Amino acid sequence: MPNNSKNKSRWPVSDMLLRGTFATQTTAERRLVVRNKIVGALVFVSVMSARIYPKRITAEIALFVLAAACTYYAWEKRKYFKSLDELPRRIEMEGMAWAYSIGLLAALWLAGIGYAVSLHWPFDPKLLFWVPFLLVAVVLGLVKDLYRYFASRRY
Amino acid sequence: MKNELRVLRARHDITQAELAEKLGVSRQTVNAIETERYDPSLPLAFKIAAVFGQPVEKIFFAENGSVGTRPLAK
Repeated sequence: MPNNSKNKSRWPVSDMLLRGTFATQTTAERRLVVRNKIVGALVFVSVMSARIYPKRITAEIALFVLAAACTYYAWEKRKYFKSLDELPRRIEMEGMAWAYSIGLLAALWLAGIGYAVSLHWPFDPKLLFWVPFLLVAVVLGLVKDLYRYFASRRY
Repeated sequence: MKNELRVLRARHDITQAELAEKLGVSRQTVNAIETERYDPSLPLAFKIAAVFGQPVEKIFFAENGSVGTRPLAK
């Protein structure tokens, strides 16, 4: 029998949880990882320059870079998704479905709780700026990544 | 769904990684099909059949035959 010593599926945990890819073996995976690092470095530099030189123009540039970086990340992620073969693609799709369902539920809960709380303790409307970030980047990203991790362990 | 992938692979003396490369999928996908934890799509099943030069029904078959299903009347 040919070598089956690596019979378990086991996509590398480090790649799945840290890099957001199934592995770093294919060209598409390596491309996504490298581009993300470059984009991350650009965002870091622009945010740091806005902190060091606190002027309106640097803040605007930092926000523009952040928005452009998020858009570019989504574009690269789409390319990566298209490069996946059918099993990882299915896992990703299921993860997105879970994230979407939980996102809807979480958004409703947050809106309800936020409204109830605001009736008793009025809060700073600036805090609302963080809600989409918290919901999308933290909660939904985490849901999708955790789903991908646990689903991939099944195969 | 049951399959004969492991047997065929052994007969042709190729590794999961080699088969995955021929099929254009990841090794994990081949492993998941072989261990019957994942049923491949029809195009992939036909691709596997073509690689081994076998009809698809010789490689993939229902776990309990066709119990409970009746063929359409002619």
